[in-house]
Amino acid sequence: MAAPATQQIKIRCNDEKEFTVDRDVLERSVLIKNMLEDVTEQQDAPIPLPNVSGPVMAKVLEYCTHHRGEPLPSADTEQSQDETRKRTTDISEWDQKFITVDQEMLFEIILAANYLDIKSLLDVGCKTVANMIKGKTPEEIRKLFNIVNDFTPEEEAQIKKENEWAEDR
Amino acid sequence: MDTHPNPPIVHLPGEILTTVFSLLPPRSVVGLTHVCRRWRQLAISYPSLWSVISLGEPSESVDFSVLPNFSMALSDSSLHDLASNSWSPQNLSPDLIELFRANPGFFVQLHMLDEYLTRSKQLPLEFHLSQCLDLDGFDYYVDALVAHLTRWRTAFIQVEDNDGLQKLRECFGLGSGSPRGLNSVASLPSLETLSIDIQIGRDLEGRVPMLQVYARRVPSLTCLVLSNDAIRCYVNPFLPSSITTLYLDCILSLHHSLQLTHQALRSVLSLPLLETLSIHGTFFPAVISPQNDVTPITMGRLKYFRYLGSQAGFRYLVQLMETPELRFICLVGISLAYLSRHESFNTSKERGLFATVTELILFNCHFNADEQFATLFSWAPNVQQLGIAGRYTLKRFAEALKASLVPAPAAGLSVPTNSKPQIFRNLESVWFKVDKDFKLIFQEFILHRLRGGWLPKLSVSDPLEGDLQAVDGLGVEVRRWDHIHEWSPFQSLVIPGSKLGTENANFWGRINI
Repeated sequence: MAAPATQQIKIRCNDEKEFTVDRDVLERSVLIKNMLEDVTEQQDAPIPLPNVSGPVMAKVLEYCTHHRGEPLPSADTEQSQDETRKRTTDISEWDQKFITVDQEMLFEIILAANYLDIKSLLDVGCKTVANMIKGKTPEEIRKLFNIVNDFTPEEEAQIKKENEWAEDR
Repeated sequence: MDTHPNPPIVHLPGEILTTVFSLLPPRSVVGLTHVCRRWRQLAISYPSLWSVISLGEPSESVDFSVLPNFSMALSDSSLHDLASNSWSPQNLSPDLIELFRANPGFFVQLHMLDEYLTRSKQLPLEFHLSQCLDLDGFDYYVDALVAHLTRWRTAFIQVEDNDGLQKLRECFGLGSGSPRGLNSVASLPSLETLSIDIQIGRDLEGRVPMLQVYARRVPSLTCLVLSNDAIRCYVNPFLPSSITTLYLDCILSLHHSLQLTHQALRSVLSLPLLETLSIHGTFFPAVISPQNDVTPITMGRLKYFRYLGSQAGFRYLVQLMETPELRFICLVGISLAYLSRHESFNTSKERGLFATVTELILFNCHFNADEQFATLFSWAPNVQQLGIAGRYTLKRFAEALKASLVPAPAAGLSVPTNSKPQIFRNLESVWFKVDKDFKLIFQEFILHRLRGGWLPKLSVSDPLEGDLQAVDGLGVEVRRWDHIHEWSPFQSLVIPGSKLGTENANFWGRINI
């Protein structure tokens, strides 16, 4: 198999930061893959990615490089996964290490994965957030994510009722 | 930490948050609605979060029946009890009890049930309903769920007294004039998995309620799990022919004997689409009678077969089964000591049973002599995956392996052969239940690898890290597995479509051969 020299693609993030990356690495992103397929002529201008910043893109590329060559999930597998909807939040060891970042970066990665359409990375992100939530009380969850309790008094009353029952047990 | 005016999580779109929510265990769902307005709104308007409902704690017997067979942990003492026919859930080994504790039911509060049923919109429901905890609530729960009969997809129902049974009867339309029962409902079009556990015991004698699952009412039913008294209530010639998976689990000490008539047993074996059959419980000796029709039944689709019970029950069953497509056998607690080269028993049916099998699990099976293990293997030449558990079974296997590796002194050779023993020629992996004996047997394996040289690769998967310290430094790959279903070759007996009770602890270590 005399593969042609790996094509290099340039991308530009919203902070002007540019990356030159092997095409197969970038094609982990279904968004970019589709863009590249639409373009027939060789283009020198970098692909603009207005929704992603340089530092986040660097992380995303680290992920894509590690997982290059792995089969992309097809629409079919997505369907069957939904069918056997397993509530599993297992993350592989490498991914686990990779995703050990501060909250801000974690959510940025999730947003980037969503925008760039990298399903496996989005999964890792969502599972990580789920693992953070698992086993915590609502108050602990608020504290963890700095969420403000903005319930109206009526809602509070309703919630209190639900809680009373729960504590009864 | 100061309250962030605009915390990062706020930027996550709702669809991503709901994806996160759907990854959480069902028990977390109500808590999510108590965090803030946005979360409450998102969670409440996401129906699939509310379609898994557990009412009452699953009792040991129910969970036991839905666990994949291979995770049954029978201790040596329960083996003894099995042999003496008095085995009961109380005798389960501590690690199995731990397993139940690690995977308890969550409770949907009485007043929340309506919320669940509303919020799940029209989605199919999966529920577990047990009478054992909230006796007063049981009737209410049943009535509320029966109002949504057409949405039932997976139903686990357990009753413990005659009142509960009466209620169950009503909901299955066999009570006298139940207004909301099945009598007034055309069918349960979505019902795929039904598990019924009735634990009443002696009170049931003399007035067995013939609850029946009518085929025309459950066109989609593929998986039926009947436990304890439910077996004699339901197993009859009217079993829906759509069933592909059937579990008959009788584990209460009172009714350890499976009360199946010969005719009922034949109707089970004759189910045309049956792929998975699991029978747990010895037979009444009365069933085994010379007058019975023992013409073998061809079970053209049967792929997975598990039997836990007596040797007599096993032999009786085997003579009735013709299984050209069988791939998987799991035998638990059976004495296979009658297998021998001397053919004092007619064992041609056993040979037929094992001939096509590629996955074999022997769980606390008795062998009197090492050669019996070899005999079994000579009948099962296609086995690729072998699972072994139980001290004595492990020992027999190790001995058989040793015997097959070291040529007999008569041959005049003391040098071990390097070729894979003929009887294990297709074996790829051996899975051990990880327990206190694991180390011992594992060392045997190391020994054989060094001696025989035909085990090119050893890899051990063991979540119980402490157990494997003994093999540190032997150049063995140790991996941690968190979800049994993702790696086990034996995943086929997990009840399909069920999310209740499918999370499991890990019991198996593996050696690749």
